[in-house]
Amino acid sequence: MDLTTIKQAVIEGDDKQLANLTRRALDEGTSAETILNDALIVGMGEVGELFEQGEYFVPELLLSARAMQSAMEVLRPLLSASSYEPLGKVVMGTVQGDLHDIGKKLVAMMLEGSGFEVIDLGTDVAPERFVETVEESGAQVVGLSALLTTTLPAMEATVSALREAGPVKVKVMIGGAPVTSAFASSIGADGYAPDASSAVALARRLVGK
Amino acid sequence: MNQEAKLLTSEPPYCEIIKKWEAFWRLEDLGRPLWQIPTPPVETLMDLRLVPLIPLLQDKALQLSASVNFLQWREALDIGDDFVPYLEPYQGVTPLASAFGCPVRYFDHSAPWVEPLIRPGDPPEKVYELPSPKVTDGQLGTILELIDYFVAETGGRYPIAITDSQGPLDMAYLVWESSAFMLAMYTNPKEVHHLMRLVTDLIIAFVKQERARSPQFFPCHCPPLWMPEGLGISISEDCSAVLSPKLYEEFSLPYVNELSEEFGGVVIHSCGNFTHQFDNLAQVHNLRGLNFGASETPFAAVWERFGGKTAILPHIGLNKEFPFESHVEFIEHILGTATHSRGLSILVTPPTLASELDGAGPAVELGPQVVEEEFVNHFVQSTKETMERCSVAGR
Repeated sequence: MDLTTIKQAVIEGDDKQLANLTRRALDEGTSAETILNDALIVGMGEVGELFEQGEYFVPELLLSARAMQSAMEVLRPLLSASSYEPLGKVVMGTVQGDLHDIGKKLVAMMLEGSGFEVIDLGTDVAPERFVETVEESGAQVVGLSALLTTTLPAMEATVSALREAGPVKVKVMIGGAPVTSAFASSIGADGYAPDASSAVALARRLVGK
Repeated sequence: MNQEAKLLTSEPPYCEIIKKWEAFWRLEDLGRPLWQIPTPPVETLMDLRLVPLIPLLQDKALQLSASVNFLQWREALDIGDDFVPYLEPYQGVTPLASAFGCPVRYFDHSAPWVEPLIRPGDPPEKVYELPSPKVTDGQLGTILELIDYFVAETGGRYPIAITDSQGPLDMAYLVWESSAFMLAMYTNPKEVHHLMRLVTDLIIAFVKQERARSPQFFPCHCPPLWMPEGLGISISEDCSAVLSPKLYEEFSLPYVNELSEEFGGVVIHSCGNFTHQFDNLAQVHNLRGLNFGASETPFAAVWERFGGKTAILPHIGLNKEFPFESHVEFIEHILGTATHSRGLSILVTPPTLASELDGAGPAVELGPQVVEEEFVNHFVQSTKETMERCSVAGR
């Protein structure tokens, strides 16, 4: 099967079609890794470009991410059984006291679409929960989001808690409306990303890929 | 309780300022743009952390006394801008969503927030289980109580502002979790329209209540500018920034136009960049004005498309990748770009005070004199000087 068809289904956000096409490609002998790397991730990359160009907006991004998830449900058992390694593992969450979700969710989806494994802790996440999750999962990167100026201290507290927690040198990237690169430096974060696409590039850099 | 008091707006200087605003909304040439340092009382008290936040929202006597004290303090500063004092019954952006039954969470550091009733993974058909709320449900009842209390205690001296009811789309995003709601625009358009219908009906019913209870109704929440009764209401369309023109045209425009028909027009606010919605905005019936952050939406683009046709109401904006070094640069940019002053009003927001205070601790502990010193010395003075230098002296 031509993988372009699968890539196109990602771009069009057609979840039902994509799951079927993925099954068919597997049946025809294409490996799960090839489908992931050469069709799904490439498709999500194009979706990201369309978003940056102002052709796609948030609903279209969500639709494509959902479609990608439907394909991943088919592929995940096969990838787990193989030697496939994701680009890295990222723990995402909106910091304590902040219930805003959509920016963090977009970053999580773009990271998954780029080949990262993402553990999304949701919103209003306490520093200790980030620490526990990093320790349990062995994640290399933590992504912190905040929309409110008033929850920036919670972001700083989370970075401190992660730094104090111990030997794992987890990298921290931050983002959100009130966040700047200067603020990232001031609280000891490893990087700041102004949008979802930049967050993917930053995460790649942080894991050295 | 006070006896009926003389309306503040019938006294100088406000009666004169209001005449200017009336001419402004008719897009007449006033010889200069109007300008103001926007200070909605409760929100400014919250931003500057001058009063503990939860009591400010939950104690109506405190909300009134703090607001009146703030307005008197502001008046004494004699800023010279085109500000008209008003009271804002305030509970955050959540009252309409709370009326549907969304649980409200209060914080000591920010405005309240609500939990959505329809979450990701829920069947979109759950929207049919939502009630048609009454105007007294949830925080809406609190807002109406605040209005009645403000009017009774002040004798109706101050205009009463419309509360922050956002707009139909922004409100629907709170009731139905935003990402699931946006997906449903593709997968379940009928259900999305059902919620938009409920929300729009509630806004209409509630604004009518607010208006009926206020001796003088101040129909613009954001931007907080004087607008005469009958010209419409302000609505927030922040979510317009994240939707394609096609989706906005289908899921928001009809409801915005319905509000416009009901109230005589709309002023549209957006915190996000809405340049891609220009063609849709041009279809809004009786579009009275556009309020936006010039750090998100380029002022030149808005001016070119809408300048002279509707009121253009820029403020600095929230974008931290700030294209303006300061409020002075912002003012100079606006005045340097606008080709005339008809329908132009500049809202000069303090960009630095809150962040300076963030570093120093809550103002409530530092004492109001610190806020006054910072506010007057670092901001009001430089704003006035810039306006004078650019020949936009106030009243």
